[in-house]
Amino acid sequence: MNRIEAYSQYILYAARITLQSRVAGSFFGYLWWVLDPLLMMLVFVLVFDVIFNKGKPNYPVFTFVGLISWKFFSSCLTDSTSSIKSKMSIIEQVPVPKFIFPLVELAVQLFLMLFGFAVLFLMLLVFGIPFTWHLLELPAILATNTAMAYGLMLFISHLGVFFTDIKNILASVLRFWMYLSPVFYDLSYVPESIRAYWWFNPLTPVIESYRNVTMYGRSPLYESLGLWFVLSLVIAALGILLQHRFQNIYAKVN
Amino acid sequence: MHHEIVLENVCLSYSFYRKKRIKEELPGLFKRVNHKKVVIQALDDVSLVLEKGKTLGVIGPNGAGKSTLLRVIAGVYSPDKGKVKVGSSNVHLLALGLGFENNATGYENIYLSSHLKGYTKKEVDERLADIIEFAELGEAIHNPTKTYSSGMKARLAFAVATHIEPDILLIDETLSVGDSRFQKKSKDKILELVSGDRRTVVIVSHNLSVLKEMCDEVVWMDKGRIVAHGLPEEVIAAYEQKC
Repeated sequence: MNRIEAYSQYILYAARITLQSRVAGSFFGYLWWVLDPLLMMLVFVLVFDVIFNKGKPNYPVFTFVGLISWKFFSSCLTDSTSSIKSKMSIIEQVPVPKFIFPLVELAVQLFLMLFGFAVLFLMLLVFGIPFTWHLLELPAILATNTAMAYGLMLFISHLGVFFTDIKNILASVLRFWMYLSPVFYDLSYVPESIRAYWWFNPLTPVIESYRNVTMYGRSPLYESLGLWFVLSLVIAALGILLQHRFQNIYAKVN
Repeated sequence: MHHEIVLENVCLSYSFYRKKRIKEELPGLFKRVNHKKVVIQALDDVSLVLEKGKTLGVIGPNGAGKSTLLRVIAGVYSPDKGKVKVGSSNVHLLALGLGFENNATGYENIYLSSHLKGYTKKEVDERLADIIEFAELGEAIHNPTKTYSSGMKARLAFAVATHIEPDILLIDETLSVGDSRFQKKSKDKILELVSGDRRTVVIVSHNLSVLKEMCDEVVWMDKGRIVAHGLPEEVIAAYEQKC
């Protein structure tokens, strides 16, 4: 028996089944992974670029980068509300570290985001944006984005066991969070007097960095990414400690 | 003798909160009212020693704490008070209402549940053919488990549990799985697992004659306490007299 190997096999296997079951029975199947972000992008292009005429050059690409990273982050958080709760029938029978359940969701969303990146590269080609060596710095941003999501997922999945309301609360929080992140607008649109506050939002350096490496041929914002990465690891460690403390209590909650 | 399972003065309670209504909760904001907490003492000062290789039967009325006892041994619950020592980490709890992923097929669920119990792909691969054959699901093994009848689910779970050869096997009321032919087959399989002195087994069942046949010792539980612990014939006779 090698538990670490077995658990990582569980995570990948369960993630694969989740991905399959989400497209099973739908007419377009896997095509939805491409259609979803593209249609969302279309909405913002229509509102921002066409109606408000506030778009930047290559606005579709600009907003697509923001959307795939936002979609990853928000889907991770939303799905994590039930990632432990929905596994109750397993938890009542098998003593298993609960932090592997959010990892399944994380793997699913990570895969979908990588798919989104593939579409993004196609868009770069179509819009004639040159590929640069800075694309190789993508994993650093991805790692920060992932660590950030996982740390929060651990806490949300813990709370999700005890409070049904967490889903509604989170939905509202995420709505605010999206508009307070530079997903479909540029930081330069934010009034200068309050712009500094945007850097308290961990998604600001992440999204800006994604744009730097894919669109502008620049390096990521390493300083603030690094800061958030370390902070995210601390949050994740605290989350695992919390779940460890409660590991035998989850099964008793009804 | 090697003590495989040791419980010392184990207490465990569940607490439930009754559903709250805002209307009823409002007075609580202004004065202290007692919380509507219902506490159920599932295990009350339970002490038990089981030697390696022995088979223990657990009997008692519904709500006596039998299933809770198995879950404490399996490590799903930690006791509120007292100590639990289990000799091996390779413990397998087999119970109804099984932890299957309903959207996944039976085949996929074999892997999922085995991985969660700590078995790697290689270890499952080696046993896969036997598991599928034992479960007798035929082509249905490739259908999602949500299409299964409860008997089919139970058969699959039973096949998985008995083929991955745990050191400690905990069986909760699953002796009467499937039709009479499969019941006989599963009984034979358990007898095979029980025989020999390597594996320790705890069986919760209402089927007293089967327990008499299989067990080395029997524990009678009621209201979270152990009423009697001893040889199967004696304990079961006393239990039958009482009921």
